Amino acid sequence: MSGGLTGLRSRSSVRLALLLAGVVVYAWIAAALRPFTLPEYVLVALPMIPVVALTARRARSEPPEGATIAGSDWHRAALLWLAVLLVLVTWELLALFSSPREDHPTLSYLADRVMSTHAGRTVVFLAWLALGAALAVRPSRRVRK
Amino acid sequence: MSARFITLAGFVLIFTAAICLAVVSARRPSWVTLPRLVARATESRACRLVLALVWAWVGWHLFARGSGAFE
Repeated sequence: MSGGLTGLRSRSSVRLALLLAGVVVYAWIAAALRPFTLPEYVLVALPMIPVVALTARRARSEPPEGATIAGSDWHRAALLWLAVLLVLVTWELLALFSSPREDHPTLSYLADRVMSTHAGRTVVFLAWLALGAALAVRPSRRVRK
Repeated sequence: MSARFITLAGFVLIFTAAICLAVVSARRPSWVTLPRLVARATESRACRLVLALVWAWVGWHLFARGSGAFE
């Protein structure tokens, strides 16, 4: 019985390792392609299809577990993080509408510097895929309230 | 002080503030952490779809239309 369970676990570990290796190879290939080309458009667009489809699923409804948090605490947290986001967006827009770009770098401009090498571009592509995967699995995960 | 320095310093300040806020909220039990807040917000299908579209746009902007690759 426990042998069967161990075998099942090792099979899922192998599957997970193969999946991760496949994702790294995919990111490596996508990172090697040049922007504004059809192959790059296809490799960037392909992961979007399952992610958007999976995020549209109905979320799993679970009863609250652990300590509950008061509504005012949720509002305070939301306001604080929205304020940080608003300041970031404002600063980014100020840089975007100023010139020359060398003197007013935007986040994309800074990201371009990191992505000027194949390895850097692969790492950023993997981070982007990881974010998409987190969004895709979100409907099947439960949340503490 | 050059305009470049001011712009970069602004980004550094904003990200430092975000990290400080994340650390403070993780240490105080009554504060809501960012992962918990995001998890709560993404209970809504509309919110998840908006985030997925933002995610897709970021990928398209950085990789398909990015200008800095292999400069």
